[in-house]
Order: sequence, then structure tokens, then C-alpha cells
Amino acid sequence: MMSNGSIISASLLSAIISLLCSGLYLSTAASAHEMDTLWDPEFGIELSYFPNTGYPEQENSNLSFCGQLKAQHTLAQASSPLRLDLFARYDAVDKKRTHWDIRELSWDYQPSDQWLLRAGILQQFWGVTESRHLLAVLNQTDLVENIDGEDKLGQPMLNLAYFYPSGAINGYVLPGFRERTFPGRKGRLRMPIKMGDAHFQSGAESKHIDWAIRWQQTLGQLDLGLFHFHGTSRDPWFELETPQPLLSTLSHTTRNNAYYSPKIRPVYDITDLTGLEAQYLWQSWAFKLELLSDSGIGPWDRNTAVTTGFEYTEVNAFNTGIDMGVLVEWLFDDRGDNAPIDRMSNGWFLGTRWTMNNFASTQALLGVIIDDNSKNWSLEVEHRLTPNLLLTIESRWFSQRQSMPKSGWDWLNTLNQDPSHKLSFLQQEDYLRAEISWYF
Amino acid sequence: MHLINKISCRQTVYWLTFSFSVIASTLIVTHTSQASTASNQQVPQALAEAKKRGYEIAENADLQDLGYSDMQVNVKMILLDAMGRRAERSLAVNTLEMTKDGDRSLTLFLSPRDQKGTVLLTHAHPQANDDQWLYLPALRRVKRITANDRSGPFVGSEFAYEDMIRQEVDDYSYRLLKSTQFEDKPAWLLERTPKDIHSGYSKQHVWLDKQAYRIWRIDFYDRKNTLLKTLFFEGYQQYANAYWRPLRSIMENYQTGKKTILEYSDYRFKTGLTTAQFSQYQLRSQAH
Repeated sequence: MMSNGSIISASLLSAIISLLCSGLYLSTAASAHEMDTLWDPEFGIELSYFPNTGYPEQENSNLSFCGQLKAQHTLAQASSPLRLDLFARYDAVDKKRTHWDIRELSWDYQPSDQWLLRAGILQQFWGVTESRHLLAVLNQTDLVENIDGEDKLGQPMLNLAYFYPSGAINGYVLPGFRERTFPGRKGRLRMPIKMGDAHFQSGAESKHIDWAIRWQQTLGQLDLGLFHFHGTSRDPWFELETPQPLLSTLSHTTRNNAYYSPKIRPVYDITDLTGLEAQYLWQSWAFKLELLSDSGIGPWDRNTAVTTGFEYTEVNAFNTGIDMGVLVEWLFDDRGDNAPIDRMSNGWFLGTRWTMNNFASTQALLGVIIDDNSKNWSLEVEHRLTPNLLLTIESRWFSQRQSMPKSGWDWLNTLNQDPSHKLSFLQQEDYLRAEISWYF
Repeated sequence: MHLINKISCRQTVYWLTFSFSVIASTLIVTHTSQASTASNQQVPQALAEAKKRGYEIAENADLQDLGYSDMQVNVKMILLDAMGRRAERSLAVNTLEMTKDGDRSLTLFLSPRDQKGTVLLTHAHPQANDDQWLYLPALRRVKRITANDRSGPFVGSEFAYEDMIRQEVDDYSYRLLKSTQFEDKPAWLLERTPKDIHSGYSKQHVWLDKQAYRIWRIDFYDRKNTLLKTLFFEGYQQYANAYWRPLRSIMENYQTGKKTILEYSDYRFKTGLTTAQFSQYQLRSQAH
């Protein structure tokens, strides 16, 4: 089932499009300035290889194509651009990974240097750390794209910004909600369990109107950001949908229950999030802090998560022309072992970043996230092959103390007995992925 | 984790706009070979005089650009290595004159296409480290970056970051070496020594003409005091009836055999850019 249709209600989408069209019409009608539209299409081929066998029906390799179209329409002498960013992916194995999204479709209106109004489908990134992005709470994660949580779905919003010389205040109204994307049955890097339909705490379901306000301030080398968000949590919690099987039903392996596996459903609650970010620059060092306090969803009361650390950059290291960076971050969540599945409760990220400063703009980032039960490695490399071709290589390998759960029930038992092993299902999911992107 | 830090972009390009106009001269030095006959008193005196003249020249050169208000230019960067391989980058550079602070610049990366949309914003400060921000289009993230070490290469070119930024008069100490000719033009040869301990250079030799304070050549000496690079400027034209800008500049690295050529086109002055377009809080709106 493609869930794209339900992600934004059709009426909301049409309202936004008509708003944008009227904006375009007005700006077109209002002036005879020369018009300028820039189109930037790109196309990518992605190959993935998983050396270890996963669950039944999962494959060891995968082929996928993606396309992205960016466009900007500007009126000369006017600061009211229209922006479009469309994304689509076809995946040969996982039907749920075949999806498309309007990453952005927005209109900027700037009546003066101090004020800016943005309307449409937008993405808004907040935060300073590298290993995880606690504070990027406005946009839903497009999890099927990458488990690093850096790909986000477009979010309908109205954003009013006020700028002053040393800071800014932003207000957001967020109508409409996007559900997180999850891999399908055949997809890799998934929980060993069936995913049911989403449930919402609010009676308005996905039509609850959320809001957020954010203040940012610069004090010399220190940058601060503070926000509050009220609305539907982009992070779901998971509820077991299937009753625990009786021994008697399991012993009679009929055709139906041979595939009997537990099913969970994502539940999206209303929550209040307060976030603080800080970055302080000193010589070649950047010290970073992200703090998120959540009023609580599902089984959890108010809780707090922290990511903090530093990045040190040695420019022109050893006179080679190469920039070398070292990253260290501490990842914390006060719920301990009971923290959600995607939230490390007490671990460290160590990483190193290399920028070669060569013709091909080669860059690499090697990192590992370590806690008591696991070491999760990642490597990302970028290298330009020709002016229009970019090669990206990504690899992750997971080293868990507990072996891969044999089934969904096995995993749920593990969660009940020792929730610190909640990521044990990643044990067999090491992968190597190469993508070639063509910009034309 | 976010790979595309594009730290290499930390080095900015606003650059050329200024670096050649920093030095100039208004005085005539009758420079005889005092050194050979100098007494103990004369040497420090002559040196002090040369330093004073050098500084005055630099100060006067800086004044040549006063009131340019703002400028936009397109830059094509051609990178050539010793094997003859070639790579190109294209950039659009906007600069804004500030009266009470260092100037501000916005560099838009247009090609290679995988870097399109990346924006580098720099606020120069005469007496302190510059402030820099990078807009990363993949994450739609504005990242403030350290601008501490200026000796690194700019996007794989032979230009170091410190070659590219706005050169404030007080970034260097000066000494007038001699009055000379540069390709039949009466010229000065100045020596300037960076004050920044992070600079990759021990000194620079700068040739500029007496007529309009245009820089034609800079020799860069590395920390071991060996000649490292030479920068040539070509095709100066006057814009807005006041400001001289080159059409081409060529940086040759003698130690690596590499070369970087910058070609400038479509200079525009006083187009009415505002501080809002150079604000870190509005950086995202500037990305194309």
C-alpha cells in the first residue's frame, strides 16, 4: 500500500497549491520584470549489498533509482522566489521504499529586511551536532531513505520570521502531519515485525494544527537557539497490535499461523517539546550542545535527551592540503534502557572527517557509535567522477552483543527481558551501498 | 551523520575584489643604496622610513575603494595540475561595503552541480577573526564554521583562504622596497608581512602601479622563506568611473607545478544590496 496519498490530506495540498499559484499569479501580474526560472534535475542509481542473510523474503542485494527536481522561479528586483523540490524513488525489492515526496514547494515573501513570510511545504533544520539530530523536530523522518534520519519529508507550514542584528524570532503554524516511512516486508534494516496502520492520540488525527516558536541569538562566538513545539510528535511510540499467541495455536501449524508474526502500530501522540541548542567556537574547535525535553508520549513521562561534544578541525593538516576533523559526541537519554528504539540512552560517537581539497572534492567521514551493547560503524565517502557525476559510497556495520532475534516474538521477548538489546535485529544488516548521481 | 561539511568551502572568494587594491603609493622615495654606506644610525632610520612609507601606501590604496558600496561578479575558476588535468568551478560573489566593520561577502557555488546551492557567508573583522557560515543545501542547514586557520587551500585551488579574503590594511606590516617598473609602468615594490601567526606566508612582495594603485603581481614566500607562489593580474578595467578590476588572475605554485586561473565577468557595482542579504539568519533565502 502506498501511503503517500494519506500523508497530506488532499484538500490541504490543493489549498497550498492554489495559494502558491495565486502568489505566482499576483507576482506575475504585478510587474513586468523579467522572469527567471532555474531547473536542476538529477538522477541517481543506487546499488546495495548486504553480506549477511536476513529474514525470510529479504534479499542480499538491491537496486534502486531516484530522481530529484529542484526549481526556483525568481522575479528580478523582487525577493519573492517560488521554490520546488520534488523527490521520487523506485526500489526493486521493497515496495514501501518506492515513494515520492514534495520536499519543498514554497513561496517567500519579504516585505522588508526585518520580516519574512514563508508559506507552503517546507523543510526546517535545527541543531548543531553530527551523530544525531534531536532538534530537527518539525519535519518527519523519511526513514526508508536512510536510517541516519537526515532525510526528511516535506511539511506544510506557515513561517513568520523577524530578524534583528544579533538574532531572529521565528513562529510556525504547521497544519497537516506526515507519518514516518517504514521499510516493507522485503526491505532490509527493519524491525522483525509487521507494521500496522498509524494511530493518533488527537481526535483530529493527522489534521491537528501544530505550532512552534524559536528564538535564536548570537553572542560573539556563542550561538544559542531555544524553541518550543506543541503538536503531534514526529516520533511515534509502538503499540503491540497482535495478542500474545497461545501455545495451543502455535503448536497447530496451520497455513495461516505459519506466518503468524506479531504486529505493532506506530502511535502519534500530542506532545510538548522544548529544545535548546548551543555552539561555541574557539580557535579550531566547535563545542556543541543539543538538549530536548519532551512532555512525554505513550508509556513515558517527561524525559530529557542530550547530545553534546566537539569538532576539532586541522586545516591543511601536516601541510598536505587536507583538512582533517575529529568529532566526539556524548549521546544521552534519561529513560535509560527504556528509551525508544532509535534513541541511544548512553553512548559515545567518535568520528573523523577528511576533506581532500582535490579536483574531485573527495570527502570521507568515518564514525562509530559505542554503548555497552553495541558498536555501530559507518563510513561515507564522496568523490566526483566527472563534472556531472558524483559517486557516493556508504557503509554501515553493526556489532551487537546479542545475536539477531530469530523472529518477531523472539525480539519482543528480548525487549521484555532486557530492553538494552533492542537493536539486536541490526546484527545481520551490515551493508555497502554505492550511488552514482547524474546532474543534468 | 552528515558528510558534506564542505569544509573546503570555508575558504572564501570574495576576494579579488580587494586584495589588489590594498597597496598603493602616493609618495616618491628617492631610494639610493644607503645600505652599503649606512652607519649604525642610518640603517634603522632608513628602515623606519621605508616602513612608514609602506604603511601610508597601503592606507591610501585602501581609500581607492572607499564608497564602492556593493559589488557583484561572476567567477570562473580553472584548476590545472602539473599533469595538465583540468577542473572548473563557477561562483557568484557578492560583497557589501561596511563603514564601521570589515566588509561582508556572499559566495554562491554554481558548479560543479553537486555543490550547487552551497553558500558561504563571511563577515570580515579588521581586528579579530572573521565570522563564517556555510549553507548546506542537502540538509538545508546553516552551519557556523571556524575561520581561525586561513592557510588551507580554497576548494582545491592554489589560492589559500587568506589569499581570497578582504585584506584589511592592518593585517600586515609594510616596507617599501623600491621604486621600479612593471611592464613599462612606473611601479612600487612593497614587502608586506602577515601579522596573523596562522598565515602560511613569511612575507609577500607586491608590485603595484603608481598611476592607479593596481596590483599586478604578488610573490608569496612560505614559512621557510622560499618562493612558493606568484599571482598575476591581467586586463584591468575601470568600473563605475572609479574602481579598477582585473578580468583574469593567475596563481602559479612553483612547488607543486599547479596553477589556478580566475576569470571574472559581469562586474556590477552599487546594485543596492542590503545587510539583510548578508545576514546569517537569512542565509537560506540567498541559496539558489
